[in-house]
Amino acid sequence: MAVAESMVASEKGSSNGSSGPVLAAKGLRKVYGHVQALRGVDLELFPGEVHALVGDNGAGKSTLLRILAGATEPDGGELSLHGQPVRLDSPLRARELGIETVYQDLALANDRSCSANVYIGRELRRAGPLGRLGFLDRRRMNETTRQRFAELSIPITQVERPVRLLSGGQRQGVAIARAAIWAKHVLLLDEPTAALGVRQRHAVAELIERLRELRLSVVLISHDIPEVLKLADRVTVLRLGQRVATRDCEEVDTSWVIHAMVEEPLDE
Amino acid sequence: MNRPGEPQLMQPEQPTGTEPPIDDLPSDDSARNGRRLLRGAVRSSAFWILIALVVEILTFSLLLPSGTFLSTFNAQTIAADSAVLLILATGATFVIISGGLDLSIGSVMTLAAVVAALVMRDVGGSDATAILVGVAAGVGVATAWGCINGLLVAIVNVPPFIVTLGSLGAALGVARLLSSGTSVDGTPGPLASDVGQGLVLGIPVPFLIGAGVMLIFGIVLHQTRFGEHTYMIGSNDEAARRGGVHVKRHLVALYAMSGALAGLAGMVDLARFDSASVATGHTTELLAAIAAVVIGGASLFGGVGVMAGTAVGVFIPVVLANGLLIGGIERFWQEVIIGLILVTAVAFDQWRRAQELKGR
Repeated sequence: MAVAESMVASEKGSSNGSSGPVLAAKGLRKVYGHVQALRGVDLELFPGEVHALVGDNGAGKSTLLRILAGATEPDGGELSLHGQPVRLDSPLRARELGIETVYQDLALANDRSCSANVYIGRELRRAGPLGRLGFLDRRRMNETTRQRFAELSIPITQVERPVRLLSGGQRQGVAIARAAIWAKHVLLLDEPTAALGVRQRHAVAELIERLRELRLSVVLISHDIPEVLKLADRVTVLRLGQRVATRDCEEVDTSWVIHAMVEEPLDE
Repeated sequence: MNRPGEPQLMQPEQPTGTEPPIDDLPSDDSARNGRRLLRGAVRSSAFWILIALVVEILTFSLLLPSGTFLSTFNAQTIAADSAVLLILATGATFVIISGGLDLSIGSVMTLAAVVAALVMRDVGGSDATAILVGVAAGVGVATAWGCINGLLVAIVNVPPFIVTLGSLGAALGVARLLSSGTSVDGTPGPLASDVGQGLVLGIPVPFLIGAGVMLIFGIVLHQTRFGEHTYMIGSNDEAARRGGVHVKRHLVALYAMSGALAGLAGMVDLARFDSASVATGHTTELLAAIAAVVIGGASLFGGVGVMAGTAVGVFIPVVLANGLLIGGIERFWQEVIIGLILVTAVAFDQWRRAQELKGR
């Protein structure tokens, strides 16, 4: 929670915030056989900023996201959290450090309730000896989930219903909300709107706005450049495993981004 | 994994329910709610299976001579006959909910009974000592066998169907080797008189054991973290893994548990019949146990099922066998009918899943 105070002290998280980055990567390299997925990528993520990662297929977006999520270990380079060097050698380690990830497959157990999915692997147990035997406190899990969903403006009140009965947009909402509820610092979103209709995209955009208000830092992968420029504060363009540019979204437009994705370097 | 506690989310400002629901489920007035409840009941297989059981009991009551099917003695018989299945189906419920399958339980039950009978016969000391040591040996062997099944499924990644099909054959072979291919008799008297044929308040002791096991494990399934993780793994094992559930460890525990319960079922069988038979490998019980779980509402796809459904499901084949026996019908029909019931139940599960997807 000491961290939260420092976050409150920082400015709105655009490029030149007064405090240092929450999460910083320096010179990340990753090789798969003969393929150099990342060739020395830097990334700085500031408190409360929504940071988009864009690039053509094979540019290294997913590899970078997986490294930040602890799902892939880099072959070289450094990561630091609040200025302290960290090693993210497993997804669990990343989660312990307050970094949560929503992959495209959402990783929801469709037969279980929303609250069971929120608390997967971190179930609340009852007080007393029954709790030590592993008895669950479903009532408290349901109540807390309902409350957190309300805070995030997730329009699902029947949190004890199985995820299977929800629409695609609602499932996306549950997956992002779960990550947001547990993330202390950073939320990584892999194509959060790819499979959604217009109305549901709008709901996800509002949810991301809520995350910004909660001063979580969000990394967002998307193929939809105009949408990205609306949602994000800054955008980093990757090409062939290298960072081409990082810009404030207000400074650039779609054609600039697409140009940066496919043409020669524009700066740096 | 860090502290058990509330999820951390700073700044709890509260816009409770003021936002118009973008995509929410239809809100319910009571009439619609009632209709939905009814629809849910009709769709749940527990409802249908309960009706099927009632129809089954009514049919036998009407067709069979009075005083035969409907009698205290026959109720006790049915209860005692259900004991082994209650125990086997308890383990099968867990394994099937986890998305797996254990075909070896009939053979493991046989193996455990043979080991226990041999140990009881050869160990010295009082009857009580012999029984305790024999039961420990039988259940121990069955648990170890289940553990090996679990390791092969979880670590070596052989599909459960193949692992347990192989170990079905192997366990029966070992049982026959140990018993030289014949039944093992000569268990201490009290095992049969006090346990196998024992009555407490008119209720057969085997039934009390079976029902007690199912009740306790039913609570574990529905109330504890172990049970929740079983559902999670069956529903989406990748989600469970990413959520920090130790999936491999959990699977090994589940198959070990299934083996241990098969061992216990073997002990109850040994107590009831005073003899460990290696003739059949208890394939009928295996089929009936899996049928009980599936008709009780569990899905072979995993993630779905309730212990209460299995409890009702167990009595369909037990009552059937009983009624056919009293009616003087060739008992092999039971095997034919259980086979049909199993396939029908799985087909029903497929249909129900399809309906649910459509009706969303």
